[in-house]
Amino acid sequence: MKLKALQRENVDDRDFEDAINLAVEIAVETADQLQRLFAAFFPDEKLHPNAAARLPELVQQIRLRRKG
Amino acid sequence: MSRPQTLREVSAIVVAEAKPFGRAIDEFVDAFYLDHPNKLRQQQRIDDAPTIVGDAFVDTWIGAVGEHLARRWDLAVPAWTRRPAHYALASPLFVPDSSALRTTLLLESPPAFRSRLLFTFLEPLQRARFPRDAALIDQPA
Repeated sequence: MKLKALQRENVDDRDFEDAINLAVEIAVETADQLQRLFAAFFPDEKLHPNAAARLPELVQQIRLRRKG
Repeated sequence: MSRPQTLREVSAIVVAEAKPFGRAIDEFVDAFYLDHPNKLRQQQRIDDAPTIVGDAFVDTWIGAVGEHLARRWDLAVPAWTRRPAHYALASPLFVPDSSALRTTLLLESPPAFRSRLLFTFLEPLQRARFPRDAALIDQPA
């Protein structure tokens, strides 16, 4: 699950890029939708704070991608 | 090209443009973790001096990884990590490059990274193969 992977780094940030592409494909574009999606996959876990902190910029990039 | 078994092989892969640096370094880290807890084999994976790639970020990150893995897993820090090429950044870089995380990365980045102007998470290089019996680095007080 790419949202969970955002709690760790990649030098090319490919998990962030993958998360954008997947969200665009399934028409998810709000932080609330992303949180609910995470909860559906991991009902007993909370999104790591480092990953949660990136949700606003993730949403921004998803919306830019959808417009583009 | 096959998966890199040493940091030297990571640099060779990058020079040969055989695969992206991010992929190569992750594959190397996986191999390193699979050796846990065999410290002799882990040491051998970081001992040989990598080729200088000529990309400031790549050379600096390789140096940070070599030093960090040695410190993190109680190995000897290889002398090659002190070469100037592994301190080649002129300005700070944040990995990931997230404005929302910059303060966190500034506070958390381990010495091997911050000394090279690299700012990343408290416990970088986490992969699925990260040893499950190892305690994670504690948050500084």
